[in-house]
Amino acid sequence: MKKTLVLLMIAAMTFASLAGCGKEVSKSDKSSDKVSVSKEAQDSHVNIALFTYIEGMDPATDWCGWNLTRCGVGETLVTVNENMEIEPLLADSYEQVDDTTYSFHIRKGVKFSNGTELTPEIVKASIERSIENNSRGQDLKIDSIKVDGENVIFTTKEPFSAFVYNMTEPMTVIVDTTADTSNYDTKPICTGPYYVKEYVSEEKIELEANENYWDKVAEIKSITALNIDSDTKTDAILAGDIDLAQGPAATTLSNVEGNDDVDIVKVTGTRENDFWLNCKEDSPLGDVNLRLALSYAIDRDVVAKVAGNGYSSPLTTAFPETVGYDSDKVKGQNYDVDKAKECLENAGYKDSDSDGYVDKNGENLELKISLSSSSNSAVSETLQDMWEKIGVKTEIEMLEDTSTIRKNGDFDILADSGWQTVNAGDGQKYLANRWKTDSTDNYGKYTSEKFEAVLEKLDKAFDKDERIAAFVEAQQVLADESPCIWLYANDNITLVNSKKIGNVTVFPIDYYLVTNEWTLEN
Amino acid sequence: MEQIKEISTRMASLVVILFGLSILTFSLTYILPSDPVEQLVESMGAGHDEEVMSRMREKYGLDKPFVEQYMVWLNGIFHGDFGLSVQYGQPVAKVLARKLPNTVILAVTSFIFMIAVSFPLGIISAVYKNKIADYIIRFMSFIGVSIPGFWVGMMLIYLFSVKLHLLPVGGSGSFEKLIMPTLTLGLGMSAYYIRRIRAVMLEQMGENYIIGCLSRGVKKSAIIFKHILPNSLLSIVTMLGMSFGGLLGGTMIVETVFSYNGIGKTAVDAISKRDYQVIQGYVLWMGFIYVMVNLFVDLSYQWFDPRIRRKGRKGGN
Amino acid sequence: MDKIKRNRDYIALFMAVFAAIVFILIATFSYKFAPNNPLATDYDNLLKAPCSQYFFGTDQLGRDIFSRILYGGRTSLLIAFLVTAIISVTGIVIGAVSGFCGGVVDGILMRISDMLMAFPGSIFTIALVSFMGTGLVNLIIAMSLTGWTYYARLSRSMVLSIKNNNYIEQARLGGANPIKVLNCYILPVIIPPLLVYISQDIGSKLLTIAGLSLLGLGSQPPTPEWGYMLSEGKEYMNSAPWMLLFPGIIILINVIVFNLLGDALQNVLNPKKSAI
Repeated sequence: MKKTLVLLMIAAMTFASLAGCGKEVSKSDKSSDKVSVSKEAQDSHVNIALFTYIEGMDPATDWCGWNLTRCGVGETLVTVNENMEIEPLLADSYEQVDDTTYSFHIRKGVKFSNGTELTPEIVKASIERSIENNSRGQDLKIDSIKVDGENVIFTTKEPFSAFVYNMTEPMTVIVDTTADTSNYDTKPICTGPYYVKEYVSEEKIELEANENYWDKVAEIKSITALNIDSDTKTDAILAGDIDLAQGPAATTLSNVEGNDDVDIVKVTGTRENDFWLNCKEDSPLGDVNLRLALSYAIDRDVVAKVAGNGYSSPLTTAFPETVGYDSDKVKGQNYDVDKAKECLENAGYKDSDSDGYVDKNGENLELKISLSSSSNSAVSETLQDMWEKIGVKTEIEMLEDTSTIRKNGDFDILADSGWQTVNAGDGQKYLANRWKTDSTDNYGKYTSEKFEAVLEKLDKAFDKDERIAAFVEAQQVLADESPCIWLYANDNITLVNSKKIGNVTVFPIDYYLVTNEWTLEN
Repeated sequence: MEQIKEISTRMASLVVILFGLSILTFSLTYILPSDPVEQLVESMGAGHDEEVMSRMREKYGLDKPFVEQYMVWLNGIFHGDFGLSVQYGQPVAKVLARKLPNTVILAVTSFIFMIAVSFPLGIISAVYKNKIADYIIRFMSFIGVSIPGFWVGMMLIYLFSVKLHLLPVGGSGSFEKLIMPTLTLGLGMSAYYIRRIRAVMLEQMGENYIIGCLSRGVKKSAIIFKHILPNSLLSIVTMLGMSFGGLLGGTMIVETVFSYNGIGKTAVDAISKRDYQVIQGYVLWMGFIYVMVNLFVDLSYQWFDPRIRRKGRKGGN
Repeated sequence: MDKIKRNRDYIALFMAVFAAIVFILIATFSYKFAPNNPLATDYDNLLKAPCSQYFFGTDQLGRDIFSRILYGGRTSLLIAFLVTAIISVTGIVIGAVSGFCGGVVDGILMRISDMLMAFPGSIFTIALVSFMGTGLVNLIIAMSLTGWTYYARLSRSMVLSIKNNNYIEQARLGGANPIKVLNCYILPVIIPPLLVYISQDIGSKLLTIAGLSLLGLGSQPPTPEWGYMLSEGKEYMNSAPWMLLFPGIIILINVIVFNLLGDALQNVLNPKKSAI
């Protein structure tokens, strides 16, 4: 008896679930369509996908501040605009008093989204909170903060020429410290054109226009920022799931090209992609001639095409042009096979046994290209192919984790990707991190007196033109000595459904996106 | 009585297995190069500032020696604290609790789908052995067991999302997002179960008592539903239990392909991000499932098979 | 059962073996068949759709996918064979020893295999590959370390079921030492039925390797390998679906062949079970 019952149940379940499935699909499809259409018509609501989705919203935690500036929630005292220039924001003016003292005049009439008035005291408390709690807080090199009437006075520990730029770093986003800060990890109170209405871990951030905003109140009343992988952003915007996607994978863009509704808005980004060369004495690449030979042998137009599917620009210098450090004045290595061969000969390499590969002292030159297994190997394979043409034999080694060989300097050529060349709008930290003699991030163990001299110049260069001149000099030194091979810079791409959102600005720095300027189309 | 004793033995073995697994995992993660802090810093692409990293290591207790880290973790377990995830900056329990429902839902839907497809087809295939229906079902299920599941998933994405724009590409949390992962998992399992059900039923059909029934003129449908199917179910139940357990562990590859925010994808991410505490939590969960499934399978044997049940009772007296 | 059926089974087995051999030969002598060099790049023809010059289209470096698939078979099949061989041999030996000796040996071996079975296999493999470094050899080692448990379980239960048969008792009484008993009387009995699993396992190992390559653990480029080709293809799904389509189909066909081989073996070796 029992068995029959069980059987009947199973049979019933089977058919019920089959029949049920069929019905449910059609039903829910229809209803969800209806709901979304009517809701959008009423609310002026858009869905977007951010460049990367960082967990957490408190600027005093690691990199969470990037979320705030991307979403248009948080604002800093000064910011960097789309032309990479400093612009006033919560401070309407600032001045450098002496080498270590800066005064910022706090804008009047600014209110937090909860209605609290912004005061210099809150600015002081908020930045002190970030310095204390954020693991990167010491990077600001702030010694003390004082309130002087309507001004906030910062004193740095040492002369720090990039200080104003560093005040654009999103960890200095001003939060309302007079309110309860315990839930700022999900709902911080800031001054931006939008505020966080709801935060669902890993899934979405619901934003709503801040009616107390000190500047023009945003036209789009609510935004949902969804967590979508870069590989699937393009499909998501084509399917209508989202109306704007920041940073879709370049390989997926062919589907959007020629689509009338979706615009591809792009600007060359500030992140660069290069390969490290091991400059240690005992490495074959310790010889600058060999490094130059490798660099000359690369057709960067092809590399950019392979890497970015048409959405990357070739790069021969340490900074992409958008950064604004006059990279066009720098002479790098353009594709020239004859020059490459000449450099090889200068380094003492020749194909003396006619096996197609160059050798020295009877030994073939063999180099290893190491890269992380999670990255795309297409560029490495392209380089391998190009170097083969000048007779340099290379082997590709994919590693699950490259940190060990990186630390030990145990590699010949190491693929590295996505270095942000401007931290907080300034490039000095990137240069010092990567090529200063004793820096931990100088994996290639490059040392150059010339380069150190330029870095010292930068330390003392407070004037903008003076800084740019120094940056050009630094780029030239690096290009001449090639501790790395610069390859390409990816475009910062934003896909915009032009039927929904208008007036979108794309910033070279990828932690800016939502602004109060966005308009609602149709 | 017998069952209570059985269950308590299992609970004891659960503790032992979980303890062993946690040590194994801890040692495994310890020998891995790199650490969660380094991975986090790396993903931001802004340089590896040693000072920043050491401050973060301190915050997450990663600067302590191996044994101490393990003891801190173990001590936390007894207080319901599964550690802090570096990647998410949140307690592991919170992270996993957020993802577990997604995995459970997917497990249930694909399991139901599998039963809905494989039982009718498997039965038809066995009953109409060597007829056209059988050949078609056998052919399809044969393809089904040979096809790479994740490849089917990608093809579904290509067809339904990229080309037809009918379904969302990936993600989790709504009914539409559940369809493709369910199909991918369900179809693969169905193919396997259709073959099993057919084989088991045919085996039963060859038994003497069935031949006896047939010769006594009992109706064929009655034989199938009253005798063959119940007896076949016995050997299927074990496998069903194991399959469901496997699903509860999250299917790493399918979840990764559909960027489904379940526990399997979390585990894959946690390994590449070296998020030790999350890996620990995941392995504990898997160990828990393993023991529970085994217990369930044994108990269900006793329930379904009167012979074992009676024996069990006698032994208890 | 009847003779016709037996004959049909043998023909099926013969054909399955034939198909498997053909695929192995194609993979081995791919350099003779391949129309293009699988490593030759063509930067003017990136991501080109299938055409008369490139039957299966080209990949992101303009390489011929058809030739890469032919060459890729070498690596994929070789790993699948090696792994299956290693895990089946070690598994069967461990299981047989465990079942035959019983006692403490059995206890220890089975607890180890218990532990490995409870531990999520993919985590273990991924962790091991991360530790030892990616690469084919390491992948084989990692897969072997976790894969043997299933065979051990199977062969152990088979040994237990025949251990107390009369003929084995007699052999023992006749003075044969345990190793000889294991070699001459036990292994020959348990291996034929296991052959079915082994041949099906080759297919499933092909799938596992492809899956692991998808997660970024596996072969080193530019050497073509089916799983790695799939994982590359995933990124270009939008612009070049053929990069995903063809390697998938070829994996499918190969798995089918080895599953057919398993089924055919089953029919021939265990006619009683399959007759029904």
